[in-house]
Amino acid sequence: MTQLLNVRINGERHQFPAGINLQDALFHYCDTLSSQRFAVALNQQFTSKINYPITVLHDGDSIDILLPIQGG
Amino acid sequence: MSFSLYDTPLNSRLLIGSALYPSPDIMKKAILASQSQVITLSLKRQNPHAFAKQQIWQYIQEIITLNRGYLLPNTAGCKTAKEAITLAEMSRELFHTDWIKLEVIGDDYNLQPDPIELLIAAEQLIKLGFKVLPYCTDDLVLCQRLYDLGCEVIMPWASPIGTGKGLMNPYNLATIRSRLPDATLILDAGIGKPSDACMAMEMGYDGVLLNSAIALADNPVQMAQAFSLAVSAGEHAYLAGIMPQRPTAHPSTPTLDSPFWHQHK
Repeated sequence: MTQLLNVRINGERHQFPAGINLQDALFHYCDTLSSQRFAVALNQQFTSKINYPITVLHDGDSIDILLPIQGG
Repeated sequence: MSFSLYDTPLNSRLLIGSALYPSPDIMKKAILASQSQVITLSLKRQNPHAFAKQQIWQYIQEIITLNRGYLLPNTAGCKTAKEAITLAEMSRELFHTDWIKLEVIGDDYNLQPDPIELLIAAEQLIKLGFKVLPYCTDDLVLCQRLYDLGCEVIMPWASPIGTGKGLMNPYNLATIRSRLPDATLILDAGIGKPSDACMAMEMGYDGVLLNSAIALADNPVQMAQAFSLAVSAGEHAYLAGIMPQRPTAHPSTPTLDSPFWHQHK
C-alpha cells in the first residue's frame, strides 16, 4: 500500500505519494504553474527552482507559492 | 542632472508604486504619464489557479517594456529580518533583479519600520548580493548605520505610509541630507501632494517614491503628470540655488529717487 504524505500548499491540505519531489507535487497541484511566474518557500525557507526536482517532500511539509502582486 | 540607482542610469527621479489604482488600465496610464522608470511591486501567497486570470502582472510587464523601466520588488508585510530575507530571495528569483526595497515593519498601525530587524536584514541581504533600498524612518543614526552597512540608497519616510501627511519633520530630513552627502536619498512614504515631492527635491534629495498620492487622486493620470513636473521643478530649484531666507524685509523695488511723497521729512 502506497504511503501518503500530508502536505499543506498555501494553507490547504493535500496528499501525495511518499517519495514525491517538490517539482512533481507543484505541477500535480496546478498544471498551469509552469506558464506563470512564481516562487516557492518550503517550510518558510526559500527553495530555488533548480532544487525542485531534488527536493523530496516529507509528511507535514508546508509549501507556500507566491506570485506577483501590486505594491507600493 | 544624471541620476542612477546602483549604477543603473535613470531618466526620472520619480519612483512609483503599482497598488491602489482604480483599474489596471488607469495604473498603466498613470505610471506612463509619470515617466517613472522604477516601479515597485510585491509577492504574495496566491492561488495559482486564479492567478491565470489576473491581468495586473501582464500590465506591469507592458509598462516596463514601454518605458524601458525596472522592477523594484518590496518586502511589504514582513515583520522580521528572516521573513524579509526569504521574501527577497523569492523576489530575486521571480523578478530577475538584485534590487530589493527592504521593508520590515515594527508597528501594525503606523507601519513604521523596525530599525533593529531592518539593520539585521540589510546586512544579510548585502552579503547575499542584493542591492538594498531600505525604507526607514527619518532617524539620522539609523540612516548612518544603513549607509555604513553598504546601502548606497536610503529611503527615509516623509510620514507613515498612505497618510498623505507630507514631510512631518523637514529638519530631520534636511539633517540626513547634510550628514550623508554621498548617499542616494529617496524620500519614501507619506507624500500627499506634488509640493511635498518638490520640497524634498529642493532639499537636495535625489528622488521620491510614492504610490497613494497618485493612485488615490481623483484623476491619477493627471496627478502623475503633476508629480513628474514637481520632481523636475524641485530638482531645478535645488541646482539653481535657492535664495537664503532673511530675517528682515528687503524691498525689491529700488528706493532711490522715490516720488516726493515717500520721502521722510
